[in-house]
Amino acid sequence: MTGTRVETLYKGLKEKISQKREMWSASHLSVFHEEGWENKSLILRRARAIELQLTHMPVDIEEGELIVGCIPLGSMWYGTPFPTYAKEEEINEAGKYGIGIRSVWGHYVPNFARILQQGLKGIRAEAEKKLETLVGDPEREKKKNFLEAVTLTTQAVRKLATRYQHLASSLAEKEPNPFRKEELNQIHRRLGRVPEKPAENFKDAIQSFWLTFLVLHSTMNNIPIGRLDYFLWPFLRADLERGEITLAEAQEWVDCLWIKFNERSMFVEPEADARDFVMVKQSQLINRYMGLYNHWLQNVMVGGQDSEGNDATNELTYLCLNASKKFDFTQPVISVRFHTKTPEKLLKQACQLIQTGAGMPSIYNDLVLIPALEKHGFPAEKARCYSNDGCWEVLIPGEAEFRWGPVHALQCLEFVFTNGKSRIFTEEDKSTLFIPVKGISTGDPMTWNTYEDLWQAFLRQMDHQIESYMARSRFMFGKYQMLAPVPFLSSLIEGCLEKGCDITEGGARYYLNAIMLTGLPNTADSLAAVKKFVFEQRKIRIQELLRALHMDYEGQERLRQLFGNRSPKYGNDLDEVDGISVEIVNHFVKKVISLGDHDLPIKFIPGIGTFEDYDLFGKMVGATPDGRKAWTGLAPNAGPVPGMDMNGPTALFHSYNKLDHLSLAAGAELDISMNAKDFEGEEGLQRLMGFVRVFLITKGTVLNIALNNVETLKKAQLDPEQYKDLRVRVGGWSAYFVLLDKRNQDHQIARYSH
Amino acid sequence: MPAHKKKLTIDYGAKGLIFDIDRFAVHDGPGIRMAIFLKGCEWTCSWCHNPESQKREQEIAYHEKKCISCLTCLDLCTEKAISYSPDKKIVIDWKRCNACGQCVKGCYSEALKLIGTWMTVEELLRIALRDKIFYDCSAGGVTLTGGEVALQAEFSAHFLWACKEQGIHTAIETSGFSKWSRLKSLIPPTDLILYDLKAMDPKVHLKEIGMSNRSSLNNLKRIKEFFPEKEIQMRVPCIPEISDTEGNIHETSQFISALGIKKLALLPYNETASAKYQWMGRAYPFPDWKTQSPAHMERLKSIAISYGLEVEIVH
Repeated sequence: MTGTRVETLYKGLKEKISQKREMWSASHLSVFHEEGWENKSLILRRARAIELQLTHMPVDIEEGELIVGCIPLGSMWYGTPFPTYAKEEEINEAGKYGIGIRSVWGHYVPNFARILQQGLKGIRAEAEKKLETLVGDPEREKKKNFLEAVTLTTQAVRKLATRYQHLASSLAEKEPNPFRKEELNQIHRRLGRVPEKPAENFKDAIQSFWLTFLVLHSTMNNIPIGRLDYFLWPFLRADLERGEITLAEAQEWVDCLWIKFNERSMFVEPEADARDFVMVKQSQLINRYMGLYNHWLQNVMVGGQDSEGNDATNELTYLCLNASKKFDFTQPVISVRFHTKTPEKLLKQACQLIQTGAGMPSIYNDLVLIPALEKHGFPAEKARCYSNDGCWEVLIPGEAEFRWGPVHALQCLEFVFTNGKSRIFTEEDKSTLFIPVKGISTGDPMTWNTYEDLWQAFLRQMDHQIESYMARSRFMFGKYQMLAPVPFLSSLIEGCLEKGCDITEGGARYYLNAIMLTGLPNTADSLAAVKKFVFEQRKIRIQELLRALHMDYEGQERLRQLFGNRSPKYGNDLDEVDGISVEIVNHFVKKVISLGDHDLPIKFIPGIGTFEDYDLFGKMVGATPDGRKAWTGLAPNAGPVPGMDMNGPTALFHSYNKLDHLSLAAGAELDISMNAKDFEGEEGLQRLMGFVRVFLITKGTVLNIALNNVETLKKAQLDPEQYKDLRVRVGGWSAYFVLLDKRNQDHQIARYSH
Repeated sequence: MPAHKKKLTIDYGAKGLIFDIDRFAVHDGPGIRMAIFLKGCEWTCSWCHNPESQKREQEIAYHEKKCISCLTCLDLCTEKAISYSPDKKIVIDWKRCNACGQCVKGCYSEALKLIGTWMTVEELLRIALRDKIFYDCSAGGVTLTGGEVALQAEFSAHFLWACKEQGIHTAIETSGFSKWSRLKSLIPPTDLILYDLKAMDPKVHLKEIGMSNRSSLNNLKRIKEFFPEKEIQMRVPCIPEISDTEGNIHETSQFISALGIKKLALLPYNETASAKYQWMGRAYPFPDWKTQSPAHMERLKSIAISYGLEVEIVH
């Protein structure tokens, strides 16, 4: 690491995050403490709560910092991260729909360019202009409340900037070092300009972005970053042209920003109670799960194209990758977009970052994703600007609300064998938006004569889950406004101010819903095994199969080995099983599209994924005919069942590639875990670049290559203190290995044990 | 056209005995490669890290950890070569086993495996073509290794020519221990030769490997003589006190640099071989051998560099 400032900040942060840290609590703050708020609308109370939060949360400027502003700890679901603003009856009513006071969402990217170009001032002006046009509008009252909430929150953001301004000037007064004194004075002056007014230069723009970002994250909107090198570049380019900044200086600022993204990291697990995450039975596991308290959906997307289709790679793209390479952090989660005009240098630098074992960047393929988005109805100029959400699904930044949910294919298969009953959940368990506890009745498996009978029953179970999921998503449309409107975030999403509507009421230009086929590899493997042994070879009778699944293979180890080892597995370039995965996906896509027409503006976009929940989804399904025992985790995303890709990554790649990626606009991430030693040095780099090139040419959507080795992971499991910085990829992001629970550590080890 | 440069008529049905295929090999030449491991070797290096590569016929391996003690194999074995043992799960009488493979058919846990599969040129080529795009995008290709490639020279030549016809980069890894006529037939369709030399001292070589190194050294000279343009990379597997001595590296470097060869790879000793011996029902004679220290490897490297060679250490 070069540069004493960055080095000092890095070391200071490392020390800070390895100690136990206190959560900031907003439990003493309530909008009801002041008279008059009782009678105001919920959205105004929520806006007031944002104001309370921004005027009370701690402010701090570290020694040597250039970019200032801190996000309070606990912002991700721990303790009481936000002031009271809702009445009990409102909370109870929303509770009926599974919406809670801590229902943070924030998976979509705001239009940061708007704040950089117009400032808070510009947004307020727009809100006021809209207010004037409301005369005679039947929804005037509602829109007025929204627009006033926007005004109130933008003022609150300004107040936070002012708090930092005061802090900077008081520090400057005491500062003996004249250089630092001048820096603090500059910070003071900068915060007088931004984010209230448009940014005048690159440094303004970075500070303005960061303050906006931190406000959203401090007020329960864990939003991703989007195309940082795209919306900040015009400022850097202008500064470079004017000779006002050097690339080295710009690098220092990007480095400082990267450090900021990691400030909330914790190596000591927080004690505060976690968010009321609605996951049946497993809720107690969420806390520890994946070290989730170190994940705030901080995704950066770089490279790609501009809205006209020109290459958008620029100097800032490389500065971002340099910063990611410099630190052994997990944040931000960086991804790179590639297309035919992407410079070779970017491919090289991306692969060099992969070589460090960061588990980043993920590779996004414009050649498939842009046409796929167009296929789903987005105009080319929008599709070309795609970015990702907090995990890795594709979305249109700055103008779209985004939600996602799974259709658990392996659970559908379980329902086929049990005639609609879960082996895990009981009747008392409640279905959620994510996971149903029962399926439909598709008949007695004992009556099946052919594989086709099983297949048709499976499709009916899957259709039912697709229909239910889409109906439920539509039912939930507009419901979040009853408890969780987001006025400030809405002001940064195109469409909301124009319509005078919060994003939770339908203000955004697009509503994307990524409907994700989950557990595809395990499902295809299971179907292939039943097809082969029960229907083709007639080696196993249906009742034997049903008994084995029911008993979780107890006393049936030989049968389990037969299913596990003697039937074709996804990931090995074997048509007999890959063909099944293709058929599942084709049916899924067709069904989703056929149900797509509706009065509500939700666009359902199909994809394949488990994200970091491969273990959790596995806990929802009993034993399956791929030789998997109950409660065992699933294959991650569109990758193979860990350890089952016996023919190596090229074969895995062919299996993956048979899927119809042009229909999977939400993406289908291929997670490949490979031995780091095989990719060392210049030769290893060439191999890696070759691999990525093939992925791009042969039209995959999203690729993640994580390099590690089994020995290191095993050692880290035994001696976590020595391996604190070891990073692994967990579905959609990077995590510190030693902070994962044992099950997930074992899953990671299995992934590298081919 | 001289006889040895003439392309033969490819027999796509020619069969080779293969004990492994690695479609993403990283130690056997540049780029992304498919490595095909041919079964059979006339040398009997006591430390060989692929004991399953030595015999020229199929054989059985038993992986005790995978065994679930279902004992199906006891019934399937027609030679009564398998018995039950409470602590070892099953015991194989290796003298009785004729590697017929019956037991393997019923071993669903894959504890019992038949090592060696007969494959045709066409079958292998089909796999290689499947991954051609990876070779093209990474300057990779296929590598025939072993065992000893020259022992299955006819099959290998057909396969290598078949690859050349498809525009696939080819490499072979050989000890060079072969009749010249056999080895010679492999050179024209090969783009890169990875040539293994173990001990230069004929006495050490005879003692440790069971055969003289004369054929190996002579064949290298012949390749240089008849195919001077052919790309050769020398490799020395560093076997403790046999080939990893400073003296051996001096001698090796001197010998190859005199032939005008530029590239040398030093392969540190691989500690993981002993498990494989267990599976083959054999004891590994050197359980205590450790891989060389990085300092020692660097010392060997600098010796080789002093002869003007380009040296890399391949782990």
